[in-house]
Amino acid sequence: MRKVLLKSQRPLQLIVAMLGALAGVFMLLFSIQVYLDLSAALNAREDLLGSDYLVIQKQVTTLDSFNPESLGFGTNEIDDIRHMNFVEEVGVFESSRFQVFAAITGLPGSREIYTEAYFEAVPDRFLDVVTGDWQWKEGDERVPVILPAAYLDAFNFGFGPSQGLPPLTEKAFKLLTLKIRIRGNSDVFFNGKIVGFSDRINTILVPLDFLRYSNLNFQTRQPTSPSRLILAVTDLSHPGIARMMEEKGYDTNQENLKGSRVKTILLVVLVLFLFIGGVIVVLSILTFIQYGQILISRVNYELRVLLLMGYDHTKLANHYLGYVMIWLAIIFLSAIGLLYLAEIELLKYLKEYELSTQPGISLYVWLAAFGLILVYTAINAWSIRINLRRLAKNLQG
Amino acid sequence: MHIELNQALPLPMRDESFSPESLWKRSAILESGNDHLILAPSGTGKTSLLSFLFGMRNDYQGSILMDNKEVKTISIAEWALIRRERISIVMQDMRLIPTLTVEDNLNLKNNLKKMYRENDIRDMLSRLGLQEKWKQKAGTLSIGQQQRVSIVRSLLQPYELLMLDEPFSHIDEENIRLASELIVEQTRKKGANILMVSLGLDYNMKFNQQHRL
Repeated sequence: MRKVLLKSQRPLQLIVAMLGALAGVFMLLFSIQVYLDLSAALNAREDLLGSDYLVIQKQVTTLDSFNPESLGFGTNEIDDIRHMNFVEEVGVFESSRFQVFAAITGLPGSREIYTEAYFEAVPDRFLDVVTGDWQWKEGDERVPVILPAAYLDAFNFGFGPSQGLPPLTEKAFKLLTLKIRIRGNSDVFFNGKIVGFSDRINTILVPLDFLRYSNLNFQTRQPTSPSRLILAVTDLSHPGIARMMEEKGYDTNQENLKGSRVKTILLVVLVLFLFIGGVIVVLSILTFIQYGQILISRVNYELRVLLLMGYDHTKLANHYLGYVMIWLAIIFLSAIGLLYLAEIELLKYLKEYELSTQPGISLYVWLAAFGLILVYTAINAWSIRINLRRLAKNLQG
Repeated sequence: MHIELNQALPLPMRDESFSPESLWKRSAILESGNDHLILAPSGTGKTSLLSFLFGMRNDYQGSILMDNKEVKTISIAEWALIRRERISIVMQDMRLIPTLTVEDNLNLKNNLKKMYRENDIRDMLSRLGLQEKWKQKAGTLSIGQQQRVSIVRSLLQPYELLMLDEPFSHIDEENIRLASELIVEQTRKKGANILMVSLGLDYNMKFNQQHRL
């Protein structure tokens, strides 16, 4: 039977059709895999390409120097922001209203860094540093502190070299002692403990409970409106954010938004990849259908003879479908093989950027592959049957 | 197999005139249990009649019933079954696959019902003087040899009716005698009947009923 049905097979045409299908299937599956890998990696370390948090403040103008109060956010203004459709939650920065002096001790060579400082606090749920040490209650001498991640770099690459101090790791930094002196009506001392470095919030953070206690007991100034807000937003690439920033004259850490743009561009590229893969898949399905039609038309006479002998057109169609299934198996096994190799390379690449994800081909990719096999098979089966049925109905030729 | 024709006429021939005795002009029953000879001058539609009775065409007016069923209404799946088990045919243009050997051509038919072993098939070929052609491509045989191969092929299945469309047109007398003997012998064994259309000769085969087109 094979001698008859595949008599006029053109291997080159078949190879071209199969390579086309392989390219399309691979692109489609690979873009799904990349999307899933990147999503998993980015969810695990959201901040790298821009988190869903945004710290905003008002742009400082010369006039503000004479009226610092104008930089604060009023209750109504905060409410307006809270009701924006892209805002999930608003956190208010609370500031210290007393004088703080901080000294870092325990540096190599018994050096000490002494500076006037300030504290701020935000509700815990806005923090990106998760630690069990982040708590303070009245009577505790030990106060946990989170420093901006940028401070570590500034110390290691700016302050340290200029003062002849060696660079310190994050871990070593956490071992240093931070002596805190609060000047209220009288001086009060606390032992600060650096518990982490924040990428998200660029300030010196202490627990909200400590800040409120200190303000209540040591404040030398009256409360003012908060000058910075932290927003939890649905998506940093939401166009409403840029509009709000411009209209209201707000300012933010630009890097965050840049990151979000990278994320958006990446997604657009992936969607484009997915789209091109989809187009190639559709074209390759059409090529396969056409190849099947050509194959059938080339053995038109032989098929008619078989039908006149009493061969069932559905059985002949199944023979063809059997060959199609073998070709599809070769295509999909090759695509999955390529995907494995690509996945290994992708994981290496992600590792370079300290992103990690589950190794191996995702279940969704397997499902997509299975779905594609079904689509290819169904469309080809339909086309082959239609062609043979048409032939069986017109045996005269 | 009971076949009934009622004023059946191929559509392309509806403007042509036929004698009142012509099968195209009257009602006729081709009863089962009889061998039928249909004599027809060239161009009177004998191949068309067999095409209607074998499900290859249905462009006719009037009615053609096969076991009381209008042949136009028989589905392609039913036709496949009829061609495998109830009607076999030797066509005027043989319909062998030229690129395949005689062996492959015959096996394609025999494989459907696996009625005969290879030796039986080779015996039939030998009886028609084709024993040396087993491995030869059908396309390289003479027309007469191809006709004999297609006769053997038609016998490799169960049937109730064997339809022959000018089966001996390119065969010499001696081989006609051998082929008709083989046809009759195999048909009797199967308890079947023959329906032959011919320009005018009966090739010394015995027919119970004779018709004209």
